[in-house]
Amino acid sequence: MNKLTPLQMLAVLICTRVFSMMTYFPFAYNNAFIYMLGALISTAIQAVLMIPAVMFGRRMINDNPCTLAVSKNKPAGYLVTAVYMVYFMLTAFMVIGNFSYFMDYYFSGYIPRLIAVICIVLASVYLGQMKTGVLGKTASAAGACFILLTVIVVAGSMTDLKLYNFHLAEDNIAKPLWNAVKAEFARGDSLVLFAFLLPEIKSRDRSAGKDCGKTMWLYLGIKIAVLEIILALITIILGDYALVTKLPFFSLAAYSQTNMIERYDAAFLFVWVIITVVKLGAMLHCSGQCMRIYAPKLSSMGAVALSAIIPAVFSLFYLLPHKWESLAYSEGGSLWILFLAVLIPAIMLVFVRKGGFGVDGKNAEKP
Amino acid sequence: MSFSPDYENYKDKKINPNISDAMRDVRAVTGNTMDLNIMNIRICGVNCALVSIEGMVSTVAMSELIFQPLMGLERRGEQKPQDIFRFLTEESLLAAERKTVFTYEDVMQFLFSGFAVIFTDTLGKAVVFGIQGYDKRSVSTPESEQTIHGAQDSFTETIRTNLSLVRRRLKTPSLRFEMSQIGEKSSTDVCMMYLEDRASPEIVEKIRGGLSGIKLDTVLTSGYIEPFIDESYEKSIFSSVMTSERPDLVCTCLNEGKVCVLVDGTPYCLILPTVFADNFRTMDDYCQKSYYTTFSRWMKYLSFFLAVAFPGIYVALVMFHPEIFTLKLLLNLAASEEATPYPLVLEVIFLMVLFEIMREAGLRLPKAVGGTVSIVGGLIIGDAAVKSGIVSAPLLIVVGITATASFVLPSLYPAISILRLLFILAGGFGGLFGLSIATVVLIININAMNDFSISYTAPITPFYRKGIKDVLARGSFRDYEQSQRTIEEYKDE
Repeated sequence: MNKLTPLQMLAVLICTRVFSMMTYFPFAYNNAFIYMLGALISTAIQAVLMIPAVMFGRRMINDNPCTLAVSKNKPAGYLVTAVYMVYFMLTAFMVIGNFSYFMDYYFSGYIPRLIAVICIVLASVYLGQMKTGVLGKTASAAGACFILLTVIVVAGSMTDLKLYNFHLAEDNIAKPLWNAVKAEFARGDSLVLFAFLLPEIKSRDRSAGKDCGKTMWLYLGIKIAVLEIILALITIILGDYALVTKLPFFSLAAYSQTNMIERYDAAFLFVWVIITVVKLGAMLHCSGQCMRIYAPKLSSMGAVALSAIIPAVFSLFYLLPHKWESLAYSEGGSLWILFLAVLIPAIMLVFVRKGGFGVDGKNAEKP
Repeated sequence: MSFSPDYENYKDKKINPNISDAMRDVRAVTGNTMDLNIMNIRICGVNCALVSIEGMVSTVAMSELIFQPLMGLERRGEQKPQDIFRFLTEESLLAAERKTVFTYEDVMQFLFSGFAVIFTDTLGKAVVFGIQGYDKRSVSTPESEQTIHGAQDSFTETIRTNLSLVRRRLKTPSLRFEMSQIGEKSSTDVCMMYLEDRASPEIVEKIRGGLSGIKLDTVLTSGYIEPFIDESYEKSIFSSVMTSERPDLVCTCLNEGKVCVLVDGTPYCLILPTVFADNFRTMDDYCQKSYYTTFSRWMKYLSFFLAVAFPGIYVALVMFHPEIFTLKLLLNLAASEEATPYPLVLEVIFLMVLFEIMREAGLRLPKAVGGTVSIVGGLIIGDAAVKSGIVSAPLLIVVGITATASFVLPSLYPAISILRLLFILAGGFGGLFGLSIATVVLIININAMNDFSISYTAPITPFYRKGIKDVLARGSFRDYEQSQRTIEEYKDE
């Protein structure tokens, strides 16, 4: 119950990425094919960059980078923990703000922003304070909902498939491609989550290391497949309209139609809220864990609630005076991801290999 | 230390060797209650006393199994008290259940369980014989878990009868019955049943510990002990403890490694640990062909969804997202809702509360009158409410479908009725956003249930390939032939 099966871990990572895809899709690149190619390249780079994290996961059974660092060198460990905690809170802040902002954008503010934030944060705190296994199971359910929604939406738009919408012409390919690679990498917060939750992956044959690798490669494979399919469908179905809308997935859902249902944007909302709770819950869960490294006596509920209050309050400072738009389209995050998902696990791995951390019973390196 | 026993301090007191004093003690402890029956007799020159509780013993059995053999003993002439006692305990078979007791605590325990107690002068001990003869309900057809092709017998209030119903279906020496008495005052017989070769020893031990830790005064139904063995009793709206009145279902569960608990005086058996999918199984599933069972099972899933979410979704869509309806339907709904004076959410709550009131009334009233309540409530009030314009006609259809669907799964009814109200409120005040929040909180709540380290959502998540077959469709008996699954497979440490 405390740990995640590889499938559940996969679901958590997919939900984290899917939230970005459903909320804000950086589609204004004039050419969907460029973004698809960029996403593919970016994913390949991610696969290479994640090797140290996977190897770290193979070697360390019980520790994530924070707990390992703290157990060996307290000042350095606390610093590493602080960086992770700030990142998770920052991501939570962005999730809360983006959710509330785009909720207004999609659905003309039928729920006041304050109420939307309170509801989503309370539900996420409830999820975040649970054990990791509960997070994984809830992510599995959310993932299933997303798949169902995608199938229904696509089925409802099948009559409008026009392959000629998929044009490849582009004058200058290098710059938009580079932008696409960067944009896709910046949406890789699931990679940090993976690096942090590594010890939570369980394995039936107790060779957890193998499952770390399998989970990561499978995630990247599924992510790119889902992304490319949805991008292709959006382009083929919506055509040039996809270029002018900021929210292509929502537009696709609104456009989809069957004999019984006129449009599926309400179904989109239903699944989007669940996915948001899972992503926010995961971020709060992790920042709560970081907080408990500083204050071990703090209860799980207390740590997660505290982690939630700060980003929620800060996001309201921007949301209530309608100033979120300046943050909503920002594409920051690549450096954070590089540092937390790649560099820190790599540094830890080097120290472990050189015997810098030594070996003890708790965080023993596996034979 | 010698003291005169009464109902407060009799427990540690040994039986007085002098029979007159012993009888005086028995009267003192029981307050010489009017149903106490003491017969002083002299057998072969030895003073004896036969003590019983009126109405608890069978007079026919007493005369045939006790009086006649004792009178036959007279032919032996004068005997010592030890000889009489030896005859009672070693040389005769006066009843199927016989035990020697030494304290007043044991005497009272057996006396009030319908045993006859024979005291012999100078010995300081007594023999108890099980000749219970109190009135009990005979085995009858199940009331709440009826099947078409399955067995038609159900548990009764008598624990011994219930044990025999299970034993005769599972003729294996690995079937274990562990009887204990719970309740300071009621001393209710509680029996834990499991198959030694199927049940997890850890689960058995945990339940045993839970039962032995109960310090209640009385245990009058199985509901009294449920909180002590259901680990998520106060944390979740669902329960991992299932109840059944069907011995065949209990036997199926025992074979799956589950542990069952019978409580004397309750015609239901507690089954634990269970998973969510177990609520959708019936014994009929194993009497029909697989394709029909699969269809029937999916109907149950659909019913659960309709019973919990349908009114909430209707309210949310009509109030907040009418754009999803096709034009014709939208116009019909708009016209109906326009004619009613109250907000839709209030209308739904009004109808659902009315439905719950009628259901309660139908349950408590005699069956004949219960039917009348349904007619008055369902037809007359419903029709009048629509005609007077208080509620809309489409809403009545929604409530009707919901009410019917909720009866498909009786074991989940308490959870369904509360969840339905919560979903109506969520949909009414937050549209699909509110419904979505309610859904995700419900999913988290169910996912958090992990009683006895068995995930309540197994085998869906965590995913178990073999188990999932039995959730999506009933597995074939050829599969069962090859490998019999137990609940322990779903253990999620």
